Amino acid sequence: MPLLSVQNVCKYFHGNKAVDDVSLEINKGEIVGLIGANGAGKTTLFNCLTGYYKATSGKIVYKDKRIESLKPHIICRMGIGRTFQIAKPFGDLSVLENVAVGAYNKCKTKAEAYDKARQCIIFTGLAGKEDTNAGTLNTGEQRRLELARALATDPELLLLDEVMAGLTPTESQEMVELIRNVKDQGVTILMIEHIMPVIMALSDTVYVLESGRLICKGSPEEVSQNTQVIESYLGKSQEA
Amino acid sequence: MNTKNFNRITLTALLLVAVLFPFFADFYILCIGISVLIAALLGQSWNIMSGYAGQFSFGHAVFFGIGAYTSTTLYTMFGVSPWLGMIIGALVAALVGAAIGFLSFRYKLRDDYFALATLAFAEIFRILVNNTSALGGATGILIPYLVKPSEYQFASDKTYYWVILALVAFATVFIAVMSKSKTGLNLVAIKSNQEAAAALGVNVLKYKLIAISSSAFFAALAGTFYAQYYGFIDPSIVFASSISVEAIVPCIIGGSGTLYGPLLGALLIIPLQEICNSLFTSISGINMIIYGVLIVLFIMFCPDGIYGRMTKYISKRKGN
Ligand SMILES: Nc1ncnc2c1ncn2[C@@H]1O[C@H](COP(=O)(O)OP(=O)(O)O)[C@@H](O)[C@H]1O
Ligand SMILES: [Mg+2]
Repeated sequence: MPLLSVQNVCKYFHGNKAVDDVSLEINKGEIVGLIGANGAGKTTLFNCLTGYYKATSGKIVYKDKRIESLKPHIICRMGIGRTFQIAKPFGDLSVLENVAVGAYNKCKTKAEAYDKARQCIIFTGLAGKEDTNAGTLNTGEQRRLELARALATDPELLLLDEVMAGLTPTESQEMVELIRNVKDQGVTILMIEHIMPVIMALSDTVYVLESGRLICKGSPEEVSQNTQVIESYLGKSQEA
Repeated sequence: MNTKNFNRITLTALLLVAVLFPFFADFYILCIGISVLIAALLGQSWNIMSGYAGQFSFGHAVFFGIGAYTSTTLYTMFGVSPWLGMIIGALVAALVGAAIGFLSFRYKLRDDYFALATLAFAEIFRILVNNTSALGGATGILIPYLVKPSEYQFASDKTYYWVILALVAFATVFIAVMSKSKTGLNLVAIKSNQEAAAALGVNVLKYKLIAISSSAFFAALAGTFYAQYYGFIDPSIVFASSISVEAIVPCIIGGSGTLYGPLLGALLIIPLQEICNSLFTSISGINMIIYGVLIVLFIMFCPDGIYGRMTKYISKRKGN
């Protein structure tokens, strides 16, 4: 039984089919990549999975439960964490407090929550920044903070929306390592990514989205050799 | 001496000055002191939901008025001591706050629209009370002056001063504890970005309702105090938009979302208003004009408020 099963999900915005009849499955322990050009509907699909948008039609089943009508915070409680394409640090809180907000998802006491938060900060390489105001972090640190916060909620499934965006090559290399470590902790990952080498390096399975529709599924090698994908996506991004 | 000790000593000293103030003040100055503290309590109340949780209220008079009217009608009609009435009024206001919040947030009113909704609710309550003869209608209610401390009536203004000082201290301690708790973190997270907060498991609606209810609670305490101190209320006084403004201004000037900002703001704004009123006796409503100008200036040039600016400056210097 897959951990997450997406069945014929559609999301329309006034006739614009942002997500069009998408079905996919994620098994426990996998890293699944989701690629596609800008505007393909990747983030919209994430928003449907995490309760920000109500899918126009289709079923989303997580651990045998239908979740397509649930609120975002409930979905988080059930064990699905996410990061945002545009980092959203809580600028009036310290790094430690930012992560503690996530840690309270599962931790009962303040001591427990702050302990958990400290661990996640160390894990994501933000040690030493605990008392820094989150609003003053640079892009790389903000990405790590997004990840630390999501991890603090103790997810079984983690959805990452372009965590490499805006990172320098060195930083993205570190982020790739970090995501591997997250996987080694037993967390299943669905990640949206633009950078092909990153997807190649990390994913077990890759789905390709084009104009809201899935056009291809396979191992990274299979997908990168698929002519339709090369034409519609890889070709385009090479031109750009 | 470390900063923590320094802060503790400063705080104790300031508290001592505040407590002993009535012994050094004449009647007029003492009245101003009480006005400062009413504004400070309203400011702290507004601080909780608007400063910390970022849900801008333009109608805090609704909670102030509910506090004043609940304790006063309970007292004049049923003989319930206003001490008890104050608590009942605060609880009623908290419930009304939750209802207003539920209606507004349920229908996804955000930011300016939410602020306008609170303004509308204050107006609705004012008009309702104005037209309810059982509540005294537009004439208002005069509270019989019996000078019984058990009924929240004192012979000396000094006692009123200490009562409102205690209420302000209570609100401030409440905020101090809350801001370091899970609730406080969640409120500030919601202010920053409610989508991101929800993604971390924060029940946004629940915490917004906690914010508006506890905010309403403290505004209602101020309302009951006002009624007992002045001995008379009517809808155009306690549900007035000037009360709503008086909740906002100390926060904006002092620093919203900071523990001491609203206290500092009230301490600056009320004497300033007094001075202006005595300088320009012929111009009525001069305080509103000054408030307006100050709010615009502060939002444009000092959005953190004076206290907020100060603490940021200090932490920056420490950092370097
Ligand atoms: N809230 C929204 N309202 C209307 N259209 C939207 C909304 N969110 C996304 N879209 C549209 O859905 C399409 C897919 O967008 P998105 O999911 O952000 O793409 P991606 O993340 O793959 O770049 C785009 O055409 C976008 O304009
Ligand atoms: Mg996107």
